[in-house]
Amino acid sequence: MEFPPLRRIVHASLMGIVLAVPTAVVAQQPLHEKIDELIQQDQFFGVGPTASDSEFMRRVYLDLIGTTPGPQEVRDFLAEESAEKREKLVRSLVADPRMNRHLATVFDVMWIERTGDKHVTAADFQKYLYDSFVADKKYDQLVREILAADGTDEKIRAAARFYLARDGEANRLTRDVGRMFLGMDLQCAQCHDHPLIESYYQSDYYGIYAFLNRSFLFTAKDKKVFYAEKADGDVSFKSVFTEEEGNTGPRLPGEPSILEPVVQVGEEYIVKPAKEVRPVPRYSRREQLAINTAAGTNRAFKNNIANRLWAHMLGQGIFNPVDLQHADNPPLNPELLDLLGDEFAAMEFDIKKFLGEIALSGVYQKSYSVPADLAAASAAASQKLALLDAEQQQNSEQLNEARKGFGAAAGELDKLREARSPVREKQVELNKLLGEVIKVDDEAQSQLAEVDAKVKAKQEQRVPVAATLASTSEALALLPDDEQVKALVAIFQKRHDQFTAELEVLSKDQAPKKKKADETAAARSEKQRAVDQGNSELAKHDAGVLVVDRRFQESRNAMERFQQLEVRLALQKSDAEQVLQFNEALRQRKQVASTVTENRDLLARAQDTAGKLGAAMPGLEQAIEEIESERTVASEEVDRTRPLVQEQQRRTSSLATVVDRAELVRDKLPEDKSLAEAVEQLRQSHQVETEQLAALQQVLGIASERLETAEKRLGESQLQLESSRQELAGLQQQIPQLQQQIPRLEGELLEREDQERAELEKTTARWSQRFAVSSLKALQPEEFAWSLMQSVGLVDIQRGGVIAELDRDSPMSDEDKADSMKVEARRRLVEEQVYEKLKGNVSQFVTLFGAAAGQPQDDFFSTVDQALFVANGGPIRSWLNPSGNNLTARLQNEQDAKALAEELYLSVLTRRPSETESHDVEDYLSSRGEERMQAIQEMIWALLASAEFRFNH
Amino acid sequence: MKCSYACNSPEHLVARRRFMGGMAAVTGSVVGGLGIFARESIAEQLEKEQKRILLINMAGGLSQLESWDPKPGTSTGGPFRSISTSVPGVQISELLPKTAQQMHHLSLVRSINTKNNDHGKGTYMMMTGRRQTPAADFPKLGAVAAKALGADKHSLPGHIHVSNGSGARNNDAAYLGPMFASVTVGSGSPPPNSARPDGLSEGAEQSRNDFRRKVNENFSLRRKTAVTDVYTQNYERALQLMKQREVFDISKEPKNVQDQYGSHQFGQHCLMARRLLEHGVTFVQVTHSNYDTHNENFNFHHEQLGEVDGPFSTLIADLVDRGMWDNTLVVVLSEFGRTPNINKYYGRDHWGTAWSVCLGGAGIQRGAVIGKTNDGGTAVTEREVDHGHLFHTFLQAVGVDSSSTFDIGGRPVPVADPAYEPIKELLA
Repeated sequence: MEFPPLRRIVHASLMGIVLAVPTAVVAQQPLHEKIDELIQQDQFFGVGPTASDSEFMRRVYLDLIGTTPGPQEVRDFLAEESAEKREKLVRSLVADPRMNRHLATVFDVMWIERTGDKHVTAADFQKYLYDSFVADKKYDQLVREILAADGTDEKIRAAARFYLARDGEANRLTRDVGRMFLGMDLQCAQCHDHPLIESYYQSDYYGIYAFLNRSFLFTAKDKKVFYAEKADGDVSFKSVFTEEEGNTGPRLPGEPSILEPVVQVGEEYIVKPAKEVRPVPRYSRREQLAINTAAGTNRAFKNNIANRLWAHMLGQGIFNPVDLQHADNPPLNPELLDLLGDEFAAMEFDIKKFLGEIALSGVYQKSYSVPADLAAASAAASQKLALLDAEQQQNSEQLNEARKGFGAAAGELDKLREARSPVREKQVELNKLLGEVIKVDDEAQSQLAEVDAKVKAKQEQRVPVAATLASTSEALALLPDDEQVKALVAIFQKRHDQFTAELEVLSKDQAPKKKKADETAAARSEKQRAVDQGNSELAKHDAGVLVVDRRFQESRNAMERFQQLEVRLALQKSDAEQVLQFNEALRQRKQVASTVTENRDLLARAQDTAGKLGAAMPGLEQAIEEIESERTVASEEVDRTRPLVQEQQRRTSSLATVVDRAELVRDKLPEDKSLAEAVEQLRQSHQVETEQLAALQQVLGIASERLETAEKRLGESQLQLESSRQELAGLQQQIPQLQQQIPRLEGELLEREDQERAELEKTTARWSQRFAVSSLKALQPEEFAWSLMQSVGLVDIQRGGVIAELDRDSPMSDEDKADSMKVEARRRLVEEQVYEKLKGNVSQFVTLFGAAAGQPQDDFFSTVDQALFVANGGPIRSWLNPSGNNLTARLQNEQDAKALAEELYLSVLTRRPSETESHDVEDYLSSRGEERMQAIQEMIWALLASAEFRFNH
Repeated sequence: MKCSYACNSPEHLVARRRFMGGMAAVTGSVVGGLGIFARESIAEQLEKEQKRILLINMAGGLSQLESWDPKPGTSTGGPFRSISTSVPGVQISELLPKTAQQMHHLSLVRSINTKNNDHGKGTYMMMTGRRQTPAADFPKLGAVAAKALGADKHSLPGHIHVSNGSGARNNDAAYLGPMFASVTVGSGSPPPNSARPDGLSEGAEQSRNDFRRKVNENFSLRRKTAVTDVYTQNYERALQLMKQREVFDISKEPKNVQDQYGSHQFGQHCLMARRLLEHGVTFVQVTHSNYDTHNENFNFHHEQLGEVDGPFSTLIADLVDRGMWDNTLVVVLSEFGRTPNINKYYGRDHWGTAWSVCLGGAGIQRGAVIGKTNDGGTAVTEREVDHGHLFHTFLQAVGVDSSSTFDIGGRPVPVADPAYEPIKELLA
């Protein structure tokens, strides 16, 4: 898109003070790039991904031409591989004839808020807007026409609808002019300074009111209604709270009162007011309102429309609500707002171009998915928080200073206004007196003029009589006896005398009238001098007031900038904290989740161990039994063997004693051979016994060892058994505890998940407020209706019909087809006829989905009757019947379930189905078996009734 | 980042539904496609205790002298006598004999001075509690009550006018938004589009909605907001309403009940109103017209009130019998009263200077009389009140703090005109 050279905007400091420095020619940085540069400063914690082609396409179609694309358009766009394809798409939509209709709807809804026909029909106004957009009328021109409209210019009579639909009531209009053209709903400042909004003053309200309060509805003889205006009526007001009084001339917010031309007393009207006459003042304050606003220099005026168009595209304004900008509800990004306002003005308020530029920005093309890297976002948020305190401190000091400056200026202004007030009052009084004197003088002058005229007429009549008298007298002197001549002379003499007498009478009358007229003229010029003198005195006051008023407005603006920054910093702080809070909720959820996992593992292990222990127990018990029986056997063996050993020991030992004694005896009796023999025998016996003992002892030893082993093993096994039992008992205690604890933890996890979800939702809202992710915006009723008709195939069928009809009835020659103007005109004609054919369907959507007349139309609401209409209403049901090449028919003819799913999703949701969704479609078809057509209708319906369809995202 | 609710584990989904089921019990609405009240008894209990309002509008201007504040035997009193009521010492016009027997449930305000004699302005004042101003529009009582009492959580509309209507939504909620605007229904007509269309079987209805829920669930995995929730929930509410169509059909009432209410329109509308209130509708308005009796005031009132007395007294007794009286505010009002002076056509003209309203139930005293007029009924002599006080009183009677504010798109907006207070001595 080609844009004219733009003014270079230099951004000074973070205060948002914008110094517009117009320079001759400057390197062109496209607006959308500037937008992205400025937007980044507010996205200090995380940015969502870029929208997919499908998301982008649906969004930009809805925003620029008010409907979703057809399936083939989607396929083509998705298939296109050019890097500039988005730019190309935007360019083609900005040139699309449907954009005119869409803009007409958007501006109609914005300005009239669906108020019913009144003096000018809704249809006429819509046509006026449509024609204006077709003719590429610029925003300032539209505003000028609307705010200056009195309904007399037949060509643009419909422009008067803004005033006439509101009955021309000055208070209502003050509110709506403020809301719609300046972004400030000053309603609550009507009776006092706004109770909740510090920076809305009663004098702001009456500044606008003063432009309008002289206007009134005028009904002509033929019952046609116009908006007429008087030439007088000043505005003063009194606070119902403080009893403080004030007065103000007409002025726009943020500007001093305007200097008005001095209209000479008596010259106030081009057409004077009279019964059944529409007065036309020489100086119209209302026209002045149109001129001053549409001049495009007022900051609020520029920013209001920039913000509204931005909100139209991005789903929310840089300040919200879009009619409530003030210091405590500051723009999120003042630099961006000022940039948009200035650049929109610089591109001569070309709405289409401006919207196209926004569509090209990266911020417009954000996905509705939330940022992926929360850790990075949190780190950035922490960093930001660390800096904010110092910034806040500094700002609050500056704000205090600015407050003082403002207070001083306000005091001074009040004093000057007070001083001016009696002068103005005196002037009004003088004007009134002058008016009276003029009336008297005019009367006297006209009476004098009347007498003068009569005298003159008489004199003129007398001249020929006198001449004739002279000549007849001469004749009589020559013919003294001519009776006829004599008679003639007598007649003329008589007539002459009569005229002379009459003249005498007249001049008697003339003299006092002359005197009176001289007197009144003198009085008049005296009064006029006084008035002139007064005017110049008043002008001096006005000039003085103006100087201070400017200073007052400047100091007010300065103060408000600091106020705005205060709020902005607080908001940044709370947003940064929100991200951290979400991060914390996430951490806690994860912690609980891991505790749940741990406990689940623990339980599983315990159950496993317990199972194993339980299973091992019988084996262990059996082994013990076996060891016990072994021990018994060993013990019995020991018991049996031990006495034998003892007995043997005794025997062996007594035998040893015997042997010893016998040997002693033998040694005393060495010759006794038998004794020796016996001793030998004894010793052998002892030997045998000793051997036996050893044998027995061995047996006992073995048995004892076996016993010992058995007992040891038994001890061990019993210990093992005991510990297993204890372990099992422990586990059996632990398992139910865990079984109780886990659901509790799971409950806690659910809570944590809910908290996390809630925090995510809150954080997402903050992200989307900072345009870091896209906003969901409900389709306007018209968008919903047209998108529905587009999705089910109704629009394409009608368009096909219209084209065929036109080609038949007024075919285009090859020459015509080569003429881009003619091709363009034909396209427009086609869309106009499609619109005419289908617009009847739209009204019921407006009735159900539109907000109440006269209320803001951008707040989403949802009701049961809407759902019932979509679910069971006649129109949508009938559109789902197969017909021609509509969606139902196309899907019916598609035998491949996958291809069917694709056509369905492309047609309704502007995207291809996911793998799962494709399967779901397949499953649905097969589950409904024979009822294939119904299944298709049901699925189309389900998609049309989904949130994904209802919202632009 | 993938949303945490992208977790598709079966436990999670079950848990989610459990959670939402719990919500349904609290709000009495149905969320997430499970039309089950997790705890039926709580839902029923809440439904019973939910505060409601029935407003009976005597359109055109009911004569206070032929109804609530008779002055028999005076020059302005007209031909009718006054009769005793079930409240000792309180007398009303003999045109309302059956109502007289219910007076111990009701109260009267006899000292209204609205300083207005214009139909349109009077209706606006009585319905909104404010004077009409060119630059601002205010919501009507029904919208305020519906919003304050959370009627948007129900499947049935929260603000209903019973009249000969098509079910269209009216424009009377101003800044509260169309979800609180009134819907007009006749005594035998369910809301439009509430019947399952021919050719759509119950099973198909079920499965297409299941498919819709699945599509929504998919979408919510990526992005979920309060507004998408409200939108999807309204489809569930619509399904609930479709099951409740019979609520709008008075022929489902037992014959004897129908007979008690009578066969003429006002009786049928009263019966319809009772059915709606019984099923949890927050605000119902019934209109009886026309009382604008500039001619033949006495004949007209004789005839009109003859129509009112039976059904109205039946309605009061019925609400008491059903245990609904303590939670249901009933108000009988007009845009103004009628002149004490009887004009030459035996009529009475517009009169906002000294007139009456009858009300009862919910948080209103039983059997009270507030304020007085003088003997001729030409001026208020005690406890003068107007539309502003009454509006606060109506709201307080159903437990709404009328001095609080609504949050409208981030702007605090007073629930009722902050310059006024309720009539405290009328509140129980």
